Amino acid sequence: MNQKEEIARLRSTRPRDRFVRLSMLGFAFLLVAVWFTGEFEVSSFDWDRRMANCKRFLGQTLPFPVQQAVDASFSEKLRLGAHWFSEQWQLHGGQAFRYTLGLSVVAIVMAGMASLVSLPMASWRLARASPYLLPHESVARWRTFVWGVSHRVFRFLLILARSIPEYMIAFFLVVALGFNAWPAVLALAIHNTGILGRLGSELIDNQATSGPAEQRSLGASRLQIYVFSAVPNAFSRLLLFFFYRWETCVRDATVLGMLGIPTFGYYLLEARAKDRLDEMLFFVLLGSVAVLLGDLVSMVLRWRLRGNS
Amino acid sequence: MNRAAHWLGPRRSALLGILLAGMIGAWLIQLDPAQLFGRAQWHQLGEFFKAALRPALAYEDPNPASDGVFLSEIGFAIYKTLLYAAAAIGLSLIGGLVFGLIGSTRAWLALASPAKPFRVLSMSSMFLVRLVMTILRSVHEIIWAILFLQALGNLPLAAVIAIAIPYSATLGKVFSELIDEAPRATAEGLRANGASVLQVYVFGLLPTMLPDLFAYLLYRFECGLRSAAVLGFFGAPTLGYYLSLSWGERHFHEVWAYLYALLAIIVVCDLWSGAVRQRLTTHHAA
Repeated sequence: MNQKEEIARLRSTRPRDRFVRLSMLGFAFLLVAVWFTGEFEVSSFDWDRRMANCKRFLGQTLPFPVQQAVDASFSEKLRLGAHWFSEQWQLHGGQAFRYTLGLSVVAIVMAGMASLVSLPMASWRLARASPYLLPHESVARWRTFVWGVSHRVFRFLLILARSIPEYMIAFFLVVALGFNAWPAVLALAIHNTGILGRLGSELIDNQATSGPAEQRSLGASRLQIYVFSAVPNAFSRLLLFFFYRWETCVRDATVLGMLGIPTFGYYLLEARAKDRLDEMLFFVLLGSVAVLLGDLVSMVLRWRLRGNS
Repeated sequence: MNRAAHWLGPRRSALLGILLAGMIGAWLIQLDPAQLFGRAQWHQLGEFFKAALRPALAYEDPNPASDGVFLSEIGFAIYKTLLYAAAAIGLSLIGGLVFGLIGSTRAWLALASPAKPFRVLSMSSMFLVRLVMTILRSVHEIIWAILFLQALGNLPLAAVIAIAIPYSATLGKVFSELIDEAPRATAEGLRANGASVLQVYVFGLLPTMLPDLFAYLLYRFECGLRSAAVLGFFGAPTLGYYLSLSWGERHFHEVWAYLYALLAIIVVCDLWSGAVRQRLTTHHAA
């Protein structure tokens, strides 16, 4: 067989999957086709006006005292800017900072606890009539059926929880709970329970089955296998997911304030309503710092976790 | 004392620490359980949830000004949501691939020529790109959208770019990790036979990453659908826009119709990406 034939043979016997290929092609088509719908065309007609608007916007994002002091030296401007910053921090900035971080922590702790409780129902290895079935065990058909149905219903509930954007959940909850922390906390907790439940159940389902099967043969119950085998084995990975979701919680908490809860988003919209663009940018930057701080703490914790396990 | 320390292993102390952090957080935001029951207006939401069983199939309050059909409006809102999400993901894919290549450690170390000035340049650009990605990611897409609206005025492209900025950074981070973990044999073989850096990236690295990359891209598309829908609250013509209008008029049956439409496209996308991922892990084929 010459080289060309060998290459052709390798090519024809390589593993392929029609569904995945079609998915890729379809998705690529979608990504390209969007640009030919005309939805995103920018007419050059009003482009000059937009650029002028942009310039005005950028000019007004400097701290107001600095804008006023046109003739001041650079160091004087710096001093004015720093003074303005500390004023803003004392006025609302510090409070928004603490509130956003506190809110994200409460929400993710709630989601973590809720997902720990939900995992036995979300994992298909645990949520069945007889988890880690023994070799000569037989299970009644109706029990298999009932467990199968309730497991699927539960999985669907988790999909629902993570499918609704947290912003919309909070939007609805504000009506019942008013402008306090609860709508944001519950919205973030519900959404993240759905995500942590999925990630955690995948971890448990991918664990080696020999250990739990042995415990089962020694008479361990479903709950005992979960608490004393599944969770301890997956613990460090579960914590990694927990901290990863906490990072996104801080990020989402900044904007949930736009519904009237005093995180950054609230003051950001307030500043925009007053047309104080410098204050608006202040809250954008401070929110970014809060998110970066969350990233940093989470990174250090995850790094230490990896070192320990 | 010794027994207490024994009982309090690393896992239990982590759990206790997390609970303690939760309590400190609750104290910081003055979370009051009484607000959940005492003063709460759950009956206000009762009417809304009652409407869940009967989502609207036609306008609740036929408006002479709009003579459209409600179902076609839902279809239109779904179409726009898909459009905005796909446009944003397309841009993020381009941005993410560029960020990912520059931000990956091993692409630089393995492919760069060993000359010292080049190494210094490559390492510093890697750190710079990682820093830029982290900063871009730290601002939420809604905030990007508000900034763009303020600076450029209402523009469909602004909403797309607002989503694409943090998404590019997230994709770039994941792609750079994929590059760092991709098998090196093909890439090194190509390099040894004289392929350029770009050729190695396109023919040696991208194909091996493709399955993981595609699976992750589909997941981000699902997130993009959610983001596009929520940007409707801020003026984009997506599902969130129509939903908030109906909510404002207390047309709860219509709200549920839009909500079910959003859930449907997201669940379909979730199942699709799940099926793709399952096939990729069982066959390792693309």
